Amino acid sequence: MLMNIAVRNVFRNRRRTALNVLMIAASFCSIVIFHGFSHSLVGSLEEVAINTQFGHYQVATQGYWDRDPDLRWEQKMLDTSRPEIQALADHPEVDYVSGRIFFFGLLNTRRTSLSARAQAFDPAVERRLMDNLEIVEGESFTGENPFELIVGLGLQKHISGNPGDLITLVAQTVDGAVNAIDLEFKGVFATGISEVDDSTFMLPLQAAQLLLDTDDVETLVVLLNRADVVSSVTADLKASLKSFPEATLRQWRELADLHQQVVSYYKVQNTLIEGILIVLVFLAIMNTVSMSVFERIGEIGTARAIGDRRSDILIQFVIEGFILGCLAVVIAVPIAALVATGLTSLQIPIPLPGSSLPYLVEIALLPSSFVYAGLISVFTATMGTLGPAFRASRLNIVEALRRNQ
Amino acid sequence: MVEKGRLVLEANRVSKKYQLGQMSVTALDEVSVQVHQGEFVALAGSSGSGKTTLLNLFGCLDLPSSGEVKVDGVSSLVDDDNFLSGLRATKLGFVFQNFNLFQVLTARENVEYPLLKQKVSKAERIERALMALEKVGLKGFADRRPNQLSGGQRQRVAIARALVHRPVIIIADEPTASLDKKVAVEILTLMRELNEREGATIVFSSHDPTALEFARRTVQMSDGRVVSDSAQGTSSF
Ligand SMILES: Nc1ncnc2c1ncn2[C@@H]1O[C@H](COP(=O)(O)OP(=O)(O)OP(=O)(O)O)[C@@H](O)[C@H]1O
Ligand SMILES: [Mg+2]
Repeated sequence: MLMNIAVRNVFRNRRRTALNVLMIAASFCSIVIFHGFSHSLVGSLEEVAINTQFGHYQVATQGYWDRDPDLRWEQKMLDTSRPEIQALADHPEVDYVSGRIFFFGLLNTRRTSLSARAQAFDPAVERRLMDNLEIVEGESFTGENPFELIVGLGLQKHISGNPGDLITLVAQTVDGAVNAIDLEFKGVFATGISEVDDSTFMLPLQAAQLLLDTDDVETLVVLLNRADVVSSVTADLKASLKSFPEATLRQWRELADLHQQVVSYYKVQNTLIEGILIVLVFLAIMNTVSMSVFERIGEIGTARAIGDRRSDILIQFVIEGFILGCLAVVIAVPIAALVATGLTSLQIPIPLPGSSLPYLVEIALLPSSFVYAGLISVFTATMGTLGPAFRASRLNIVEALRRNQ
Repeated sequence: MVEKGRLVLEANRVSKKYQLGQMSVTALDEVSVQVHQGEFVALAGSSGSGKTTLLNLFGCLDLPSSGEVKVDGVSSLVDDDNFLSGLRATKLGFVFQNFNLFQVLTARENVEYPLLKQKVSKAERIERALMALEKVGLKGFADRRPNQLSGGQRQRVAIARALVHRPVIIIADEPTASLDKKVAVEILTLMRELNEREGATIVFSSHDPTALEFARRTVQMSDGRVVSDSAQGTSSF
């Protein structure tokens, strides 16, 4: 009967109840949608980071990871002819394993000479990187000829060259000798990350190895078929490298500082939004229950006179808040699902840094965030009643009764 | 005179003072009254004489500034709000001037309310509530909301609510003041019947002289004191 009375009291002032329910429902939807949005966005950012930069894993020598200044460059390089590397590539979950070298070189055109950062990789193997690389001028690596070069958008402005030009790249070999090769300037890329675009050019690994006079690589990126097996495959991959102690495997998350910052940024943002919504709901409920207590002082006096304890009064109002919260959640669940699906279906494109492919806004329908938002809504609505409910329970009975006139 | 039953309500030299700023108002001044089981007592007196104040003390809704009130032998001078709630819930029934029914509840649910405080099954609760409604002449009105009942009917529901849990005593402050004369007489007749047939002990207040004729004993108050206490041997019945 207690529940029954509470439900009827909730529906006593329909307009006020409707307003409250709407308010709680709106905050529920906001939480679900923000969670769903950031989840999808972070997921896509992860994918871009994996595809274009980190792979799922990277293998390099310990000296390379430590940037050990006492080691010569050559000593930090990895020998790719080792059978362990082949074993790595043969793992059923591994899509491909490919080498990379980073170094500084001098780009010489007819008019300028400029030092820039070179990223050497194998365009024939690293499909995912190639797919995500936006070429804004000229074309990408053709694959027919290893002596090709593409240049970051910002960097191009400084070298005053155009696609089709021949560029001479001068660099130190791994032994410290000076060497040079001629490369054809094929095109201009843009990652959307200005630090990269302003300072980086790319060339096929084969050409770089020739220039640097080495058969080795600095790092090996390992791409899996599916991202969700990362945690279960790690041990396997480490095991296959056991007999090759110089090679150390690192998971991409250990390498992706920036990405982790982005993720924690979204976490902070979500927490902030949740915090604001919780405060709003809390205040709204508190206000409503205060009004409701005020209107029902006479009734509270009567209930106390005929034997209700203070706690009975308190519980009565708290239950009403709980019901409001539950009601709002029940209504908000389908609304949130609908709005999320609707927003996703609009396919709103936004650019993602690091990828040529625009990101289509997606609101993931996460059961966990529904549960979370539901709990928060009900909890906040319930807690919002506590203050006024407590005051109601402490009213002086005789004075409260006088309100029945 | 009828033989006296057990002592169920007593005020022993009870005073109640209110502090209004610098001024102290004495609403009750060393009042002593005893009520025995089966009595039907009227508190009479002009406005401000202290009737409501005394009934509030009897009902354990308020505590005296000095003196002691005992309900069924139990003193209300305890510093335990839950204990007093329990005392009201079990030993006392209340009827108010403005009926004070819960608007969201039906007549039957209003009457059931005091039984929620006791270990009574739902079936028994409903049965006892319906029985109480029948006693006050409201058979067939169980499912009406208060706003679907007349003033007299509402007060009948309130009386049913006040007796459903078989309290030791029913306290009614101005139970007829909000009713017109004819209905007031009906309510007083009902109260008198309940006193005679069911043995309900009732203390009520009124400043309506006709209401006092229904009581079997009248305690006259003035300025916070009892000025006379007389039994009506032969009533207007
Ligand atoms: N809360 C209060 N604060 C100050 N004075 C009070 C308070 N309650 C009652 N009084 C005073 O106590 C005295 C007795 O009041 P009480 O309400 O008991 O009278 P009453 O006999 O019930 O009057 P009425 O017939 O008008 O209901 C009055 O002088 C009143 O002003
Ligand atoms: Mg009064």
